[in-house]
Formats: sequence, structure tokens, C-alpha cells
Amino acid sequence: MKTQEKNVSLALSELNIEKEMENIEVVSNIFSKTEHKSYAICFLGGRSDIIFESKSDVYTSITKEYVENIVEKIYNQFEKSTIIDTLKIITGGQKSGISKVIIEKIKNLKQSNPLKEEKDLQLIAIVTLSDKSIRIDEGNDYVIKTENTMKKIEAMIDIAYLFVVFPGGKETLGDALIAYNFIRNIKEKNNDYRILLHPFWKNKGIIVEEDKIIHYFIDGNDTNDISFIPSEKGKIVELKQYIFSRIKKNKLNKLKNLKNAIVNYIDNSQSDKDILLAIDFNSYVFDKNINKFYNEYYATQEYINIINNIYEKNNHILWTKSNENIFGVSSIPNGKVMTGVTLEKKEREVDIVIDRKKPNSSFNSMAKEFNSKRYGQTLMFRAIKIEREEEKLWFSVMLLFNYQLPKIMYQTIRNFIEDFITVQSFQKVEDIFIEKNKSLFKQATQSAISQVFVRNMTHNIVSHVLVHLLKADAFSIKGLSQSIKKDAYIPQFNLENTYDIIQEKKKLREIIQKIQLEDNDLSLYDEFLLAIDRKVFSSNTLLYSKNQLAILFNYISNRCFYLNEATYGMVNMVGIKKAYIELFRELDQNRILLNHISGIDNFRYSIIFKREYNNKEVIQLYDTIYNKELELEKLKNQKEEIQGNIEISKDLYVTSVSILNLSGKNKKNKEICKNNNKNTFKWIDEIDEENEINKEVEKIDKDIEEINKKILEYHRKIKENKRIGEDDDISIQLPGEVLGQQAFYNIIENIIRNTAKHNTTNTEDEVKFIVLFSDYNNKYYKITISNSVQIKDIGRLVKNQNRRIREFTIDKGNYLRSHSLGLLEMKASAAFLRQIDIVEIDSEFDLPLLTACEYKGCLGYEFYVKKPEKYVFVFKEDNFLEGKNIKSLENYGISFLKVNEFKNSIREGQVYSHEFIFLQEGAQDKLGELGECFYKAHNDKQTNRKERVEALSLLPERLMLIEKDFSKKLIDSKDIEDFEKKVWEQWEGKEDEEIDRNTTKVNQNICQDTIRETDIENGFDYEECRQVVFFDHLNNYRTWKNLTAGVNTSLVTIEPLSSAAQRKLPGFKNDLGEYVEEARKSPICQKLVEAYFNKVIVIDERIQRAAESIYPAKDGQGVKEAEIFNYINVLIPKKEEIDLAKEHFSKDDKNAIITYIDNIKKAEFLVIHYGILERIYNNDTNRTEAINKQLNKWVKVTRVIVTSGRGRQTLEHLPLSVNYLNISSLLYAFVENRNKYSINYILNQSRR
Amino acid sequence: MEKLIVFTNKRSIKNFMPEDRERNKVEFKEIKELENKGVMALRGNVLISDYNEEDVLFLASDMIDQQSFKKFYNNIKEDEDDIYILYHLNDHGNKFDHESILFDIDEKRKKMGQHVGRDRTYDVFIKKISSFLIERGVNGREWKADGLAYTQAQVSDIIETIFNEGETEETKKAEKELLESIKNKKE
Repeated sequence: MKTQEKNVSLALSELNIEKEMENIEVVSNIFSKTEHKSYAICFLGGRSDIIFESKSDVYTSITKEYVENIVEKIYNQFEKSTIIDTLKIITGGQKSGISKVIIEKIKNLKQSNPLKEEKDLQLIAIVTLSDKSIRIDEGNDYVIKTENTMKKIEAMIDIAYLFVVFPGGKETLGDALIAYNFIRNIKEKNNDYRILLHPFWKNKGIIVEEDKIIHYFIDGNDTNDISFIPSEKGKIVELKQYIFSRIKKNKLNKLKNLKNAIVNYIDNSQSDKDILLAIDFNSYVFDKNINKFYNEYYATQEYINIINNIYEKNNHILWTKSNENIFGVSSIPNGKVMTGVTLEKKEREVDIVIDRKKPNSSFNSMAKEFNSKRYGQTLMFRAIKIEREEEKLWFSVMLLFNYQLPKIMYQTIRNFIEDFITVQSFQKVEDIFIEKNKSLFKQATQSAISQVFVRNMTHNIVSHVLVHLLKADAFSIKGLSQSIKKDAYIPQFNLENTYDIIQEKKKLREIIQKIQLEDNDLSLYDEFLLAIDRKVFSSNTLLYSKNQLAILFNYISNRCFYLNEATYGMVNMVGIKKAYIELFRELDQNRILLNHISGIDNFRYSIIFKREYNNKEVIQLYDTIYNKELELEKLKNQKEEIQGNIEISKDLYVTSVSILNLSGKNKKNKEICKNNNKNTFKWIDEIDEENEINKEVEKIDKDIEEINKKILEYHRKIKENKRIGEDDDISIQLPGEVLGQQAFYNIIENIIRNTAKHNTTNTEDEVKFIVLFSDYNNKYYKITISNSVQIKDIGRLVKNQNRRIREFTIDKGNYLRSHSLGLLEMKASAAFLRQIDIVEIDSEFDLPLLTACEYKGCLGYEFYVKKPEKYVFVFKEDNFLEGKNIKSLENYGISFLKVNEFKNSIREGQVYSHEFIFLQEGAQDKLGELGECFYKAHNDKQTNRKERVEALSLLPERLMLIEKDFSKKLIDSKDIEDFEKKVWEQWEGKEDEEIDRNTTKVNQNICQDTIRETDIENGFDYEECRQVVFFDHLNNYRTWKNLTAGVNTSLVTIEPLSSAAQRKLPGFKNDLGEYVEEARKSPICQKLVEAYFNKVIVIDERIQRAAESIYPAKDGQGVKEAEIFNYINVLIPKKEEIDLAKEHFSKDDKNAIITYIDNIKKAEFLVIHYGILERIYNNDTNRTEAINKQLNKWVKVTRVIVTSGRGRQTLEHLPLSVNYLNISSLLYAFVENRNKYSINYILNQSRR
Repeated sequence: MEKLIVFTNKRSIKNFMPEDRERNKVEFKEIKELENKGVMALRGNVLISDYNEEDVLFLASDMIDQQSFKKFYNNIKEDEDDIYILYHLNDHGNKFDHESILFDIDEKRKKMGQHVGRDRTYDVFIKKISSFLIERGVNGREWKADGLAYTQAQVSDIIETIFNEGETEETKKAEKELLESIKNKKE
């Protein structure tokens, strides 16, 4: 990430690391191609005037005039050039030979034909100090002196672009070759160098062929066509600038390179085994968690033995305090020369073991030890320790030579070692600071977003909404009524009509009016409250002020849970929510919030959820029709064939009968008839077959007709972008379920706020916020939220908003940026919805987190949410997929994985949010212990429970082993409904089976208000049937008592459901009675039966407290929630027996809780509040360890879900096998919308 | 004569109805007309609006207004008749205004029940009807229309079971025994 890079360099300069970079040229590229107008030409050629002596042919001779002529051409080109103002002519600078002619000629030209004022022509001499014979011409503008020929050429290359090589002697040839090789090895993309050679060199046969760089003069005298400097139309060359370079250091960035450099330096004809006995590198970087040295060496076994022996008796040399910054070298006087040396390479981590009683190693003691072993000739050692505040970086290199090195070589070898250590330390420092900066950056981003969350919470919800509830008056009936009915938000769903309370409303209005008149009359106020209470129990209206307050506070508390989780990371658990029924309706009912959130008094608006239908779905439908027609064609062909066969069979029949009748029943005829008899009645079977085909044809025809209807419907919807309703609701996958829901609302709120704030149109106009769901790809829905305010220059606004969205969260000082904080919060919420850690918010993703867009001339924002991921096929062989349309299957939320891919992903800790994972039979072995945890059916899992393994916390509970044939059957399902039906029937069993024509054994049943009993007369056996019984709310206590009296709880579960809870049931539309009739069939039946019969143990004081509350019945005598939980397999200790809210638990309490859990057999889930575990193990010296030990015990038999309101980040020490769930999701399923289906769903979705 | 009027609606009564081969709950034939007609006589498994003096068992819509009911009641009530009424409050639908519709009915002859299992009112009523139909060879699996009027004895049996709570346990026991014997016979 750009920011990270930026911060690394900041951190480096802060810590003054320049010292380590002393030798590094750090001049950045300052000028671009178009910003410079200079060019340099270097001339090489004979230093002596002998070169001008006449030769036999034109190719080998050169005259002064020839050189002057070229110089003049260059001078003229420069004079005319509009792109080059400074020309540098580089020569050897001598007072004789080519240099002299060039210098003289330029001097003359400058005098005879002066250049314009802006033009500057420089004469530069580059010479070597070692060559004492050179006489430098005084005509040079300046002279650059270099140490040797190599450096001279390096310097020339550093300045010049063009080398013109005239005839010369060996020196010229050497210079030209060095220059050519240098240039050829420059790997820059734009190599602008050119070398022009006089043909003199061609005949010498020593110069390579022409290539991109090298060119010969075409004719010794014909230089008219040559552009010596870039022409106006020509290519402008890059300016010679220093670049950030660590080339020399980088060469020694590896121990191997250091070894090779030393060996080559000493004697490049020798192989390394004869020079070095060891090169041993140690480093230590302080890290609280790592107490190890990094050790890398090339060494002989003998060296290793000696060094190990030393470290057995002494502490490590790097540990020795006196070795902080030393370089040591010593001859080993008694060392022998070794032959047949083999160096072994090793990289390892060595534990730091410090024994204070042992002496510390030193260079001296080391040298003595090698001397005593007579091993090695020269020992060299370099150690450096960089320590600053918390950072500790220690390095050492030990070299043992098989040579006695002369002193003259020490310095160079030392330089190599210094280079190596500098590079090493620089790299380590860089690594540390990249890491440190990553962590700092993470913390800074985290804090910044946390600030945004707090700021926006304060700004939006507190300043705009809660501010209206600060005074006691606001809570009066009048006050609340004003808030609820403010009419700023124009609802799309009428809460009053739902509950048929128009009459009640009239009465209420009368009472409200009365209260307004006599405000202080307490008796009237009480009367009013009573009336309200009565109304609540009779109609449960959501508009009732107390309910509205509860809705608002619930929203705020869920928001806080969301903000807490989002700040600290991402959640692994996902839930499926319906766009209309849940997302929209639950927002729409929050009238106090919606009426105030805009912060502008007269801002009126509505929110509309729409769905974009596109041609993709129609195309898919056409595809289906095409396939069906192919099937039809095939069937028709079969039919024709069979009809033909029927004719033949009938003929055969007739023939055989005729033979017998006409030819008499002799033996031969009998034989013929016998053979024919085999086929005699074949035609009857064939007619049956034809009938079967006819039936199938009829079915396909019907299917095609239905699809055609669907296509027509889609075409209509494509035109309209229809509002989403209950009938065509879509499901989306939200991280953290209610938390994700809050992230979604958070984006909507910000858009409302921003629109209201910047809205300059007529405030009386209603602004419509469109929340549009469109199909993005197999995995995602794209959500576009736009307003209806037309903007003139919308393109510019969109561009600006996108720029703001893309800007970094934190500024240069690692502080929160000062602008567009609403956009930042939206982006953070969009990241949460994608399960992306908010600290990654500034990274670039293929699918952007949030973008501004234009929607019908208005401003909109786009982000993405996942489609539900439901099924994964893990296969060993994929032949069952042959010829299948994988894409259309993926569209249904079905994905496919090879067993090895799956295994690797589990190893990497990938979380699977799916509902089912199918494992192909035969692939279990590949998964080891995990393979054992796949079962053919739920019942199989319950009766043959295996010990659970850690990886299960990444996976759903429904791990299904499927036979080859069944996988084919599944894949061949005609649609997703058919697929689900097959899956659930396999997993939970069929809901009924017809034993004979008169008897049906019912295994599972869903009913309302009654328990179905065996009905022998009508042939229905319910003796062993598992039944889920619903009540639509609860009429009275008698209703409950009637049904629960003496009921067999192992076969019957009973639950009264609120309207909101009913909406959470799978496939629920709007009427419980109608729903139950549907739900009695698969797959809903199986889904409900699984949910209601799964045992759940709950050890949480908040849920225990909620279980003490009364579920209201209309006669006033309600039912304790605890009693209801008891009938739906939710097992919570009775408060009077184990009070989970106690501040301290005694030993007895602890035993009681553990015994309670242990006594419940075959529980599918154990939900436990981490706070309770802390109280249970409060007296243990290592509480975390004790808690984990207990959790590890439970987790072997059941899925353990730890819950907490503190956020997952506080539970990082939890065993990996344990799952986590935020308390908000639990309360949502257990308390706010209590229903066992949601409870089972949410617990199944919990992950590590 | 003892006659029985059962207030109900198409949806509520369905809860206890037998199942057909596909396990869909069957319905009394023509029950869709009940709300419209107000009251219909039950003969076998068919509801008819052209009832006559033979009819002793009626289903009444819980949507009926006071006047229409009164008219019907007076129409079927002979001097010597004991007319029993089973009604419910229909809390989840349009509430049945029993206070005004049944205000002049003797408390002993009206009983409030619920369409809830084990309430021993509506559930028992359907169970009784179902067993009478089985005796005539009409079962839920086939559910062929059968329009034979119920006899006085059959209706009295129903009334006895629902209204005479004292005998509840006994009846329950008898019922159980009956079911057992049928089951045994079948096996």
C-alpha cells in the first residue's frame, strides 16, 4: 500500500538511519525529459599526432580536416538546434592528437561564428591520474580527474550520450571496448547511448557488429547524414541523473554473495573450497515472542564441531556485551592448510540459552580455540549491535580462512564485510519498520475509523435523534407522539393497518386530546396508560410509544455492538437476511429515528427498496427452455423408435400365431414360435413405455409453458425495476447478521444526512431514496443507494466524491483526515459488509468498497453484499459434473472444490459460511480426522458421534457424506427447490412414507394449535412422528396448558410466535395458517424439525433473565419464557437453582454449572457467556488456561459458542476449536424475536 | 330434538380435518360458501344451504351478524328442541361478537371452545364426525362426497362429549379403547 511505503520512509528518517546509508547515493530524479536541454558527446581517438600521418587507404587514414569537418557539423547542428542549449564536448583533454584538433576547432568556431547567448558549449577533459605522460590542453573548460581508466570511462558514461571513436591506438581501443561493455550492460528501458565508430576500426576486426548502440560511419568522409545531437524531431534523451541506488550494497545482500566476493577478490582462479573454511553469520532481532538467533553459514564440519564445542562451554559470542562494535582479525599461527575442503550450507534458528555461570565468548578466545585445534590460518570477525529504545539488532560475521592473508588484503575484505552487514542491518531495519509501521498504520487506521464512528454516532444519532429525547417532556405521551408522527419520514409500510387498529386509534386520539387539555391530571394520565397497555396486549402495535422507544434503543444498542466489532476486525459469522421483510421493514418501523435523522426540520423523504431485473435471468430462462426442447426432441425420437418397434412386435406376434395356425404345430414350427414368443407380448410393454414417454413429454411441455410465463413476467419487471415486496424478496448474506444489518443502515443514514445537508432544492418536495439491488455476479449483489435530487453537473460531483472516497484515512501525521468523514464511515461499513478488516480500507480491491455514481441524474453510491453461500461440493473426482452448467449451479449458491483445495484452505484457516458441505464418499481419507466428521444423515451424526476436531469451528455443522449416485442426483435437480428438497430429505429424513396404499407413516410434521395424533381409520401413523407446533401469539394460558399437558417432549416441540418471529421462519409469507400447510412438506418441514429438535444449552445470565419474563397471553396470564424454552429444546438452568447473574461463584456454583452442562447428553450446541467462565475460574492462578482447558473438554462433544458483548478482539486467546458469537445476534434470536429456527440458524452460522 | 350449531370458519376448522393420500388436509365440501351463506347444515362431509327439519347439525360462520343468526335460530328451533352452540372468540381473525349474537342463549347450552388441540371442543367435534364418516366408508384418503344427514343419536353423542365435561375422562378412555381395538383388528 502506498501509505505504508510512505510511512516506512518517514520512520526511517525519524530514526536517523542515514548512518547506515552513508555510501548510498540518494538523489532522486528531479528533471523530466522535457525539462532539460543538454547533451554531451565524448570523443575518443589517438592521443598522438601520428594518427594524422597518411595511410594507404581511406578507411585507415584520418586527416585533421576530417575531424574538423565533423566538429564543425556538430557545431552547426548545435547552433541550429531548438531543443539543445547546452552541449558538452568531452575529450581526453590532451595537447596532441584528436583531442587537440577538436579543442582548437571549437575555439576557432566560437570566435568566427559566435553562438547565441542562450547557447553554451563546454569542453570537458576527463583524464586518469595514473597517466603522468598526459599534457592537458589549456583550452578545456574544466578537467575531471579519475583514479584509473575504468573510472575515467565510468565518468564519461556518466556524462555523455554519444561516443565518437576516431582512429587510435591500443588505449583508444581499450577505452572504446570498456565504454561499449558498460553501455551494453545498462538495463534501463531507454538506453539512449550511441557509439559512432570510424571505419578504421572495422578493418581491425576487433569490434563487434553493428547493433542498437554501435554504428559505423558509412563512409569515412561522408558524415552529412549523421545527426550528432538529437534533432528537433528526434528523440530527446533522459537527463543523466543519479537515482536511488544501492547497487553495490545489494550485491552483498546474501551471505553467498559475500563469500563469492571474498573468494574472487583473493584469487578468482581458485575454487572456494580451498580458500574458506567457514563464513558464519549470526543475527538477532529483538522480539518479545522470539528468543532465537538466526544463523546462516557455509562451513566445514570441523569448524561446526569446534564452534559447537565452544558454545557448550561459553555463551554465544553475539551475546557478549563487549562485542558491540568490533572488527577482529588474527592469524592462526599453528593452523594447517586443509585439503579437500567441503563447505556445508545451513540456515537455522538457534535458541538463545544464557547461562550466567558460563564465561562469554570473545574473539580472542575463539582465535585461541582454533589455534589449539590447528584449524584455519586467518580468523576474521565483525560484530555490530544497533540498539535504540525497544529495538535491538545484532549482527556478526565470522570468517575462517585456509590462507594466511597478507595485511594488504584485510581492508578490502573488511569493506566487503561492512557492505554485507550494512545491507543486512538495513534490510532488517526495513523489515522491522515495515512490520512496525504496518502495525502502527493498522493502529492509526483503527483509531481513525473508531474516531469516525464515534464522531458520526455523536453527529447523527445523538445530535439529531437522541437530542429530541433529552427532556422529561419528550417522554410524555404528547412528546413521543410528536416524535413518532413527525411526518418527516414518509413510510412505505403502514404499521397501523397491519394490526387493524384504526378504531383503537380513534379512541386514543380522543384521550390524547383530553390529556392535552388537562395536562396535570394524573388520574387521566394513568387511565391513558392503562388504555395503551390494554391496546398493546390486544393488538401489539409497533407504533405504541413504548414499543417505538424499545425499537430505537434496540437499534442504538445494535449499532454500538456493530461499531465495537467493526473497529476491531471482521466477523466470521454470517447470517442471511431478507432485503424487504427484514432490512427494510425493520428500518421502516423505527419512526423516531427516521423522523429525526436528517437533522433538517422540513426535509421530507421516503426510502424505497427496489430490485433490478436484468436480461441475464431471462437469458438463463431461455437456456433452460433450449435444454428442455432438446430433451423433448430426444423423447420424441425415442417415441418414434418405440412406435416402430410396436409395429414390428405386433407383426411378429401375428406371424407366430399364423405359423402355428397355418403350418401345423410340428417341431420346427414350434421352435420358430418359441423364439418369436420371447417377443410375443413385447409390444404390450412397449405401449407402457410409450405412455411413460407421453407423460414426460406432457410434463416438459408444461414446464416450458411455465418458463415462458416467467419470461413474460421478467420482461415486465425489467421495464419497471420493481419495488421489492414479500413475494419477490431477495436474500443477502450479512456478516454478523444484525451487525451487518447495522452496517447497511449506517450507509443509508449517511446518505440521508448528506442529502439533507446539501439539499438546495425546494424543501417541500419529497426526496426519494432508492435502494436498488442488482445482480452483479455469482457472488455479489450490487447495492446502489441514490437520492432523487437532480444535479446539473453530476459528472463532476461524482468524480469529486470518488476522489474523496479514495483518499487515505489518515494523513501524513498518522492522524484522521479532516474531511469527508461521512464517506469514510460509509466506506468502513461497506468494508464490514464484505468481511474486510477496516484497517485494509485504503487498499485497492478488484471490486471497490464504495464508489459514487450517477443514477438517473442524481447522486448515488454503490457497494456490494454477498449472495447467500449455501452449499459446497468437495469432490475427489468431478465426473459427476460432466456436461453440467456449473455457472448456473453457482448462481444458486453452490460451489465446487477439489478435496485437496478444501484441505489446504482449512489448513490456512479459511472460514466456510455455507449451510452444507458435501463430501464425496471415498474422499474422507484425504481429510484425515476431519473426514470422519462427515455423516450421511443428521441421525447418523447424532447416534455415531465422533470426537470433534479443531477445524470444525471453520465449518457448518451440516457436513454431509454423499454417495456418488446421490451427487449425480443432486446435480441433476431441475431447480434449486428440487435440489434443496433432496438435500434436506437425505439429511433429516423424509417427512412421510407410504407403507401401503392404506397406510402412511408420518415422520415429521408441522402444525398450528394442535398436535396431530395417529389416525388409524384414515391410515396415518403419527406414533413416532416428530412434530413442531406453532401458536400465533398466545390467546390465553388455557391454550398453552391444553396443548402442553402431558406432551412427550422428545416428539413434540411447541412455540408461540410473535409476528416478527413468524417472519423469521423459512419461506414464511404472511399468514401462519397458510404457512403451516406449506411447511408440512419438504424441505421446510425438515429445516424446522432439525431446528426445533436440536438441543441447545445456554449459560448466559442475560438470556436466563429474559427467560424469567412472561410471554403475554390475552387473558393476562402469560407463560414464562423459560417454560417455552423448555418446549423447544433450549436448556437454561433455572434461576432458583443456578443464578448465573451472581457476582461471585462459589465452588458449589461452579460444580453445579459444570454438572448441569455435563448431564445434558447429545446437545448440539453449548452457548456460554465468557464472563461466566471468568467468574467460575476467578480464583485460578492462570484463569485463561483453566477456562481454555474446560472449553477444550466441552468442545470435543459439542459445538461450543462463546458469547460476549466486549467484542471478539478481547477473546483472542480462545482455543481455535471454539466459536464466537456477538451477544447482539444471540439476543436478537433468543429474546427480541425468540424462535427456535433463528436460534438454531444463528448457532449453526457461528464460526471461529 | 337435540341440535348442534358450531361456529367456525374455513381456516380454523381445517386444523383438525383428516388428511388425504398426499397429506393435504381435506375440507367439508362447499365450506367455501359458509361465510357467504352464514349457516349451513352438515350432512356427511358436505355442507348444504337447503337444510330442512331433518337436519340436526349445523356449521355457522363466525362472521354472521346478529340478525341473520337470530333468523336462522328461530327458524330451526322447535319448542321441544334443545339447541346447543359451540363457539369460539376467533382472536386472530375477525373477532366473533358472541356477547351480542349469543346473549340470549342459555349458558348451559352454549360453550366457548378453541380450535386448539386437546381443548376437547372443536377437536373432539371433528374427531366424532370423522369416525361417523369412517363407519360409512368415507375416509380422508379418498374423501368421496357423502351427503347423508347425521342422526339424532350421533349429534347427541357429540353434544354429550363436548358439553358434559364430567364424562370427559370416561369418553376419552372409551375412545382410546375403541382406537386400540381398531388398531388391533387391523394388525
